[in-house]
Amino acid sequence: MVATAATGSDRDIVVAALTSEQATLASYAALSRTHPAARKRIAPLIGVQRQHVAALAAALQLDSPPPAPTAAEPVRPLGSAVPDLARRAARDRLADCRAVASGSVASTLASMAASHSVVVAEWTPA
Amino acid sequence: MTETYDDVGAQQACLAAEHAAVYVYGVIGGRIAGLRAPADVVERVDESYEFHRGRRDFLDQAIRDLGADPVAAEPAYALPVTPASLRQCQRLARYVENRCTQTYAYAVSLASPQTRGRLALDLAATAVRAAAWGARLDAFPGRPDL
Repeated sequence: MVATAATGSDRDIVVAALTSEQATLASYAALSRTHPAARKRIAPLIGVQRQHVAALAAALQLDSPPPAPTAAEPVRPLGSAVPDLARRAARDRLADCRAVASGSVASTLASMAASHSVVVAEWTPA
Repeated sequence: MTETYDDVGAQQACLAAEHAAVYVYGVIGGRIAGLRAPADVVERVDESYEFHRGRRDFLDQAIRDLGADPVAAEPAYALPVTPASLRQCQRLARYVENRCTQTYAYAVSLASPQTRGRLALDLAATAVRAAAWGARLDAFPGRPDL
């Protein structure tokens, strides 16, 4: 994987983005546990989140991502929970993209935001 | 390290991609008329054509506002597939959206923070459009290097 190292003030933004992507990962995992019928549909989202976490950890030059948050959000109806999580992640990564100095890091964050936007657009209640 | 940005170069790249997208959707629109395509597909082609025309016109003006000459459209563009069937039309639409997504991702890396927010929104819009044409969920739309 090619990930540009985040330096200077960008580093704080990428650390916060990593925490946020880990929280989204934990929330998708919790949804998968509490909605077993939707496990197959949520699995690709978990795969995407893992890649986001790995890319941000690489940008921070961490050997491995820090431990994921253990407290996920309270269980909510699946139909609204997934798009709500993805919408918030898209909005936050877009804000991060605007805030960093490095163009390369900005492009990575914008791409993550786009990925979340696709989830918002494509997710349909079962 | 001080970052250097190139708002003109970033938007010129996007404008070139939008010229191509407008051309390709024109071809698809002309072809799909004779294919008895479902109404929702025809509607999506029309809406996509209008979207890319709108982005093209916006970028053209944004580049002029920066004092540069916008890149012109080519007379024609080589197509990776001849859209002889509905499936090929959809494949071509997916291809052109993916190309736009890659261009916007590249442009975000060039642009200043003031300009890149809009380009990032267009990156998301083209990724969503590619998905609507059947592209699989991707962790990094427009960034095959990641």
